[in-house]
Amino acid sequence: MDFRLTEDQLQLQDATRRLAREEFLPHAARWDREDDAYPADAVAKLAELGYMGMSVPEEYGGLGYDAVSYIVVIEELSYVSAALAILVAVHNTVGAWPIARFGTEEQKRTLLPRLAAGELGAFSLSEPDAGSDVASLTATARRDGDSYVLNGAKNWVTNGDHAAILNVFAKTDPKGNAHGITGFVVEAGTPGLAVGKHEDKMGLRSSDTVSLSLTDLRVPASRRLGEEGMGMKIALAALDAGRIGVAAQAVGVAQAALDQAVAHARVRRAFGKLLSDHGAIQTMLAEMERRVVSARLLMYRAAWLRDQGRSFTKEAAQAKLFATEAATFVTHRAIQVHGGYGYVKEYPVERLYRDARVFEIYEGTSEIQRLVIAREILRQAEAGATPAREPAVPADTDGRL
Amino acid sequence: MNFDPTPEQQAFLDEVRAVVREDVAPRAAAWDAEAAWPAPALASLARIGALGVYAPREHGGRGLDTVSYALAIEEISSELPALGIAVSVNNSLVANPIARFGTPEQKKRFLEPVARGRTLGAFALTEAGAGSDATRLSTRARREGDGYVLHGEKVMVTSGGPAGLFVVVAATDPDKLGRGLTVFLVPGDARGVERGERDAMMGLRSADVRTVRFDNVRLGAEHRLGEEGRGLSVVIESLNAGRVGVGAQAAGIGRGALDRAAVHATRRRQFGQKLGEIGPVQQMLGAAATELDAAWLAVLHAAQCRDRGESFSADASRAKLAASAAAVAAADTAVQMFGGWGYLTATGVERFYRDAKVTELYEGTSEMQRIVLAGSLTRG
Repeated sequence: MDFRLTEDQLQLQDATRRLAREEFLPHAARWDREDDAYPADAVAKLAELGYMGMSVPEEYGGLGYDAVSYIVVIEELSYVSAALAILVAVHNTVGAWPIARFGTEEQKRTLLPRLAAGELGAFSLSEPDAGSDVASLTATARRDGDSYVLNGAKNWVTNGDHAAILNVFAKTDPKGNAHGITGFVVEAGTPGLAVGKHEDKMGLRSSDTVSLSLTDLRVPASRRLGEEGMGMKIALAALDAGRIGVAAQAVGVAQAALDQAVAHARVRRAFGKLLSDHGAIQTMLAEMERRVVSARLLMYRAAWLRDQGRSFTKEAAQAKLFATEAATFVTHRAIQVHGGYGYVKEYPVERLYRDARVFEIYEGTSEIQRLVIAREILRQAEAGATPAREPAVPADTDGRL
Repeated sequence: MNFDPTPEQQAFLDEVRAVVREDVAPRAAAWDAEAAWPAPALASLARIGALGVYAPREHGGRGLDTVSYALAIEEISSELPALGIAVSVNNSLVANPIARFGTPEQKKRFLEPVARGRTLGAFALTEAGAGSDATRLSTRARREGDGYVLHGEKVMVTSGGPAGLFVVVAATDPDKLGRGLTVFLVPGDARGVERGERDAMMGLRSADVRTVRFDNVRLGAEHRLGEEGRGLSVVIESLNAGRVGVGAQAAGIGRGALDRAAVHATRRRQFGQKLGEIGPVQQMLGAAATELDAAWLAVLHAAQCRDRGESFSADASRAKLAASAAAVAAADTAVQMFGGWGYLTATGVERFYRDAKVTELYEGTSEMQRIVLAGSLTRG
């Protein structure tokens, strides 16, 4: 048992940390404040260094990182800018990865090198009336000769405006519930694909979130991702992986907020002593720190299990749940430690607080994570893997004694 | 990076599991109900080396690492937390400081029987007037000839009744507070050792906790552990390791409670559904299980830091803080999931609810852990 990063992973962490803090951090507040401040230069730099191909296998021009290395990078990017981190995370985990995992050889050969080179990827599953409840999608894909014709409305598409390649999910069997969903790789600029509203958000302000309308959008059958009806499986697999990425974003933001709070507490004085010498402040700092450390361990565990090829559904959900709640808690307390200074934009903690709020929502709300975790625990209990002890309660008092 | 136990850690855990399954679980509820000392279980654990998990082999220990110790305490505590603390104290607060600070003679005479489990150890620090503020002790040890005379009263001594060896912290130079403390190894049969009545407690009812008086106990210099005036470092090292143990105990309490609740949720039906299919039940189970895993990883992390010889004071405090909070929440969740049945002794979860609370109190309250942890952040 050894929870430490390998030597290679530590070097990657160090290199990414320097890059993020030296080159991106100075721009993070501006990206947040200016409308439409898409961090194009940062994306270009990341592409040049290979980071846009972390989830792309080496034979297709990527870095082929393991999951642990990947989250190490996301945490470091998120430490300086959660908006930049979500851009890179979406691009890699739900943009490139599903193609690398489920794509045909032709799809991989033509699409993955482009993604690795920095053409942006996106993922379009959610609809105005179908978020966590994926089975109730209403977008349709009708087979027509050698192609499919897609119709419907999508929203919450991260990277949607700047993406070159989008993984879009629609029902090939409208009556088939979850089993009728199919994934398609759609190129930006295809007739029938229109970018609609740009969401004006509380946080992650330099990450674009748009709605899409699909109007008789024609996609060649060769761009179908996996088999017909496999869409749900692909989407959930991508989201399992994506959840570890959101955990990494949350850990990065939480660590940044903790560091800001500690630095402030070490210089600010009140009642004749440093804030860090006040019991009330110490109590907050300790509760913040322990959450950050545990969140990171849960995140490493989930990523490590994934790298071992083992089941990690429960652990990914736990990592996301705990890390995102930790980010909510820690950014809140970071403002509290700052007092009024925490509420003004001169200090970074108010941005961290706004950015953190979405983590408990996207790629599966906290409520969905708890549901996933409970189901996995109960499945194990049903299977007899949990020792049964005192059987002292009537098992069934449902009107039948 | 590896989240699995090593083959050696796993093999030891398997041995512990077998003992817990056969010699602890069947009688745990009865021992609690009767507030009975679980001597046979302790003997079984001694047989596999669980009383000296990381004590050196040449001194009767099992010679394993702190991770193995944490795995053992967690497993034991998932059935009988009162046994978990007795084993933890023996390992961390008794065998550990002797192995670390003892002379070769002390290791032979005192460590070996403790590590083998022939003599049970207890740690006597807390006094009526000195709890979290452990440096203002009224127990005194004054020099007399080549030795010392120890006098004072210690309260809430875990395993105080059955203990055959006490690690006693006393002031040799009271004016110097923390710099005037010295630690002594006091055999349970020494003249002047008087054990009070067993304390009645909310939880850990089969643990033996009591006041122990040391009435002018005469000790030769060979009973002094470490140098005179250096007792605080012995106490700190012991408590750091002990906090990993209490963290593991808390994690075990949480798992014991949640395992029972999970099984219940697969059997019990209400409104035509299994309990586990009901939304609010799923939410509370998912939340508690996640807090518990988060804390358990923090405990194992602290154990690994100790095994690497790193300074692990903050890691131990974090582990105990997180695990004790998670245990209290998990036990509360388990009782809630059982509904009214959870309030009945027969279902087995109210015991964990009572046992969990003390993990936020002993070997440093949660408030003390936060001060240690915050100090490591802001004084860096």
